Amino acid sequence: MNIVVGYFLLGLVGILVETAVAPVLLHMQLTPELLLILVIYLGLYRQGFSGGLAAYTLGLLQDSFAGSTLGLYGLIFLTLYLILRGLAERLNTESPALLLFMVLCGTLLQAVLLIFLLGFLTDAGAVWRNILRSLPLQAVLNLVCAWLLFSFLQLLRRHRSLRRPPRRL
Amino acid sequence: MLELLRKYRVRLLAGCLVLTALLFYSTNLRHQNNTTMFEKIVLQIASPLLYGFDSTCRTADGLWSRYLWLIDTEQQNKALRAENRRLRGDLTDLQEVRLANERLRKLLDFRESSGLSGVAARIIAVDASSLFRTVLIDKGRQQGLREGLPVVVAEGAVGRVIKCTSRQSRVLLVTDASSTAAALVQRSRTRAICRGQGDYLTLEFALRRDDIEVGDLIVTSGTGGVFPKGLVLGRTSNIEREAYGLFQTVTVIPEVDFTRLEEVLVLLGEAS
Repeated sequence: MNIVVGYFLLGLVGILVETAVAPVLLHMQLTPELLLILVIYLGLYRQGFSGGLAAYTLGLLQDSFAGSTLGLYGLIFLTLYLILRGLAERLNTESPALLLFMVLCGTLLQAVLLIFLLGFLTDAGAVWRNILRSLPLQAVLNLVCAWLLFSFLQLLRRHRSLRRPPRRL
Repeated sequence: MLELLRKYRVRLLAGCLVLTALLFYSTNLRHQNNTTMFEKIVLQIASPLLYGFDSTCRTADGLWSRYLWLIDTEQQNKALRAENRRLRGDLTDLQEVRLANERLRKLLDFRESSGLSGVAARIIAVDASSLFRTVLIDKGRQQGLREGLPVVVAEGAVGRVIKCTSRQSRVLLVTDASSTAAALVQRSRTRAICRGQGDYLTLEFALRRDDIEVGDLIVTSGTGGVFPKGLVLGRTSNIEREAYGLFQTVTVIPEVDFTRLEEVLVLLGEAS
């Protein structure tokens, strides 16, 4: 349960960045999908029911600030998490490049799921055209953000390992 | 007599001089505004000397105060720079207040001319996804808002409230792909449905034979149950009529600049 609450709080910070900070800094319609990156991280490095619940909660959080239907991103993020969990055991999760590759795949898969769900289940008009039009730039933006976040995490880890006292022999 | 003159010579001469001086003075009193030849000559002679002396004094004073006596200069410079920064900030703030005032005045004029009561709101966040077109405003149920209310600016329709909390509301913009509004062409009164396409709008179900031209103003028809009649949606920019088919494809560019949206007006209904 602590994991779910922790990721929810992280997601809240991500949402604030997506909705209020990024538009001011980037001056364009696109915003980096930080919650998607978080879900992919969850899928690769977290296991079990709590991970799935956290992914779904992040989806609902995204729904609260995007679009008009609650549950759309919840379903997409949960699907993404489950797919990644299925693949994670077959992949070398120690590789830093894997996260970036998975972010790219996740962005594409999210677009496919969005087109399917909005095109077949709702009257969203020609939303598929908007999705496909913005997809290349969105993928690049997500990749850049994922790389920056991953670099920041690496720096934190290195800093922690340096501060840790040496073991006694 | 001569003896007498000789005896009082000095005194008499002095008296004459005083009298002459008095006469000269009294004469000049009546011609105060005239510059005499004497004065002119004296001034002409004296002016270069005075000028030279003055400039010498100024140079000396400048040398002293600018290059030698510099005790408080740095402190003054710092204080002035700080004041300059503060004043620049104040100027920017005032500029921002002026612009906000102009925008709000526009909204107020629109509200008064439309005869509808409304609540002015500020946009505090945009959509978290790049695919949808929604914004978050800083007014909610406490201010009388509810789902389904139309949101406008002076330039035209913005969207409608789709989610409402006590202090915030989400607004679905007319440019969102899932947003539709009953519309009509202002010039020819042709009816159609205006649907969002992300950054622009399209007119749907406009028959091929209907009279629509590029540049026509598209307004709300008031039949959709959300927007009151006559709100501007946009202008037609491109019309495609296929050789076959029932309908024509019309692209509409919104009149509202959604990239620069800051304050909006939520219409609550008829003004009491």
